[in-house]
Amino acid sequence: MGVMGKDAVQDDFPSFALPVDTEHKATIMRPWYFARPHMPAFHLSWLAFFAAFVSTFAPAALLPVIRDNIDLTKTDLGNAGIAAVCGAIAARVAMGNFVDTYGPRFGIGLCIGLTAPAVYCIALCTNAAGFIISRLFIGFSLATFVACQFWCTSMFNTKVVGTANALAAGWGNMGGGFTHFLMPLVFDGIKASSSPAFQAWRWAFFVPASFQVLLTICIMAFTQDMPDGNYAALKKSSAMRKSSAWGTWKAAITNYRTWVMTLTYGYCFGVELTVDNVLPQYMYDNFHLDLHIAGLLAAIFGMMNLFSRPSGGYISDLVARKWGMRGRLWAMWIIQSLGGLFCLLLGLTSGSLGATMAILVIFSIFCQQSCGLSFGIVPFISKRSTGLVSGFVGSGGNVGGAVTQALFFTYLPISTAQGFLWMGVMTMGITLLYLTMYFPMWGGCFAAAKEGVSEEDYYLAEWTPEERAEGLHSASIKFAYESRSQRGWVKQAALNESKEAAAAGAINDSVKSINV
Amino acid sequence: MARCLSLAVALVALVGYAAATGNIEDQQPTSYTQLAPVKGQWDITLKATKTADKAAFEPVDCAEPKISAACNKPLLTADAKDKLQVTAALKGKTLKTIDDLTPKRVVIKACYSKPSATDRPWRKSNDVIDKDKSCPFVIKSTELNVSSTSYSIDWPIPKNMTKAAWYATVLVLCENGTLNSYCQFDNTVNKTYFGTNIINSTPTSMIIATAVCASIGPLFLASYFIKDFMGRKKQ
Repeated sequence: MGVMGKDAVQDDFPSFALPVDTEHKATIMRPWYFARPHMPAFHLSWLAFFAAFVSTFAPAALLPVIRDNIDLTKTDLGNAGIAAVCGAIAARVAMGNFVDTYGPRFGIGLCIGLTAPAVYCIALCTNAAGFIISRLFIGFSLATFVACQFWCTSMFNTKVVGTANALAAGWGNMGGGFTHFLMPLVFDGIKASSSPAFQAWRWAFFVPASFQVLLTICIMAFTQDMPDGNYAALKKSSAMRKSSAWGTWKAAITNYRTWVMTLTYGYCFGVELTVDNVLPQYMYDNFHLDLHIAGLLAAIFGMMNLFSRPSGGYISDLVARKWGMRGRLWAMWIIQSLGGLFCLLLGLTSGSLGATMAILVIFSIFCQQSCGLSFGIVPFISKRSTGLVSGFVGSGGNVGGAVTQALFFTYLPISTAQGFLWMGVMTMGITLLYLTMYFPMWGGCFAAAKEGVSEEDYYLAEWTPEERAEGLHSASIKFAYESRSQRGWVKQAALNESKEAAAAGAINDSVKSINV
Repeated sequence: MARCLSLAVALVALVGYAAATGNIEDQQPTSYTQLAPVKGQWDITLKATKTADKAAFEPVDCAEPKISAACNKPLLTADAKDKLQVTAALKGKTLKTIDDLTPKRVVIKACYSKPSATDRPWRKSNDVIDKDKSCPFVIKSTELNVSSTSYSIDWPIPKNMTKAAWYATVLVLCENGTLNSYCQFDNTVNKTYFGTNIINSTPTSMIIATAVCASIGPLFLASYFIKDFMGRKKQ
């Protein structure tokens, strides 16, 4: 089986190394495969997101040294943490729009290629303002998340898209934990070569920055946007048609589900970002640990992403098989609420390192699983504006991170432990919004699907009659067909039964009419 | 399943290791308040040498210093060349300790002044001496010599010292049964402070390396897009 060239466009009978559906998206997800074009896109997208996380949270890993070098106060540290996540808010929305227009390959390549200089330049900051600005620009790299999820959604079928998105995002998020493990080691290694501590931390940033540059080169050289080729070639051959930008925006912003997911993602991923920012310092200051041990223990939280976020995506796909979208929504609400509960409990265990670590591990599992579950739902909100919806939801994560960091760990006069407690309470409150999500063709948490409404009705409603007449909606037709799997086999079996009964009834009627 | 189990075992081991290597005290907790009755027995003087000026100076006595205040000048640079001479001399012939414990050790520390610890909880002082985070640098730690009433040291300012205003504290350790505990202290609060400034942490080599490396990513992207554009134009 061969692979189509990057700039070639699909023939009628394409050949792919992996089994594909009508959209040429892979129908299986095997992370240990490297078959082009699906798997290099998967692997390089999660690696790029991983690199972005390593760079964004590398300063947090070395804060005990940095804060003394450039004389930072608690307020400066809080503002820098907020800047790191705020940088990505607008960037993620912009990235959503960008990938819809220019494709995910350029999106990721430009994002990490153009933020690498900011990672190098943090080595030159000498005051709080410079540090905050550096973290702001480095934070833009978190926009790779949107392109990463968009790319996986473009490459993988609806039955495995939850798992693919969650694996990519989970392994990418692991960077936030890995950096707490890596950076103190790199710092120590440089210090051992007779470099003073206040220079060693600066040289240490050359490592994540160089990794970003290397990935930029690999992404531009070895990958393509879609299974059928790159955006530029597809548009030229009219295989992809350009639709109205306002129509794309309208489909995203007028869909209330976009905003529900945006808010709620802020309280799973946003909470994760905040914990990544405050945990190493909390461990260092509260339990009087040295930099290595504090970093190692804090790294556990982020490293749990190795399996916890992917397990969220897997759970989402698993429950969807039986209960469809309703199963995804219930799993989402239950797991994110448990994440909030364990965040609350984390605030109550500040006196014991052992109890803190036990609660932290469980908290990280539920928090990160809910992030994985979120992107098992997001691809189904809109087909026309997939990138933009991913962008809004992704930026919602950063807004949540900025809000929780500001409220509970910077400006309110409460301890870090109390911050965890109240953050958990707020999480459980906001999570109730999932109960309002409703898809007319699949149902919601409490309401069943509307009779007679199909997936085609929902997805084609995003296009005007004029756009449909031009055939711009063809991708949505294919997607609607593939997304019937979200009915769940319970409902699908009931539908099949009623269809068979209707068919049998029609046959009987025709036999009767013949006899008459 | 087996992988999850082994990960869980590794995590438990890590937590146990962390608990074991956390701060284990072989000292009995004592507070500054407890030691107040025996304070005031040391004369602590601070002198400093700046290598550039090759001249000694004596920091001016003052109270509640700010970093920019006159009493902290000139600032000593944390380059292991500028030095601070600390002399702690007993006012009387013998040292009186709390509960008449036997003094064993004298420890002289550099402590952050109040303005340098403001809005920095990691430098917060605590009445319990072992929990006090405001004295991170040990200037001298020596066995107490019964025949000596004065302890002096020329302390090079270490390279990891921050920009701050400092005072000196003398702590005396005594044996208390099988444990050690602090049994006397004195400091130069509201008397004498010295100021430090950080080393140059961005040498020229770092600036050049940053400029070169930071340009690689954007240059690659620019050349890629130019090549791609030219290629499409030819088609």
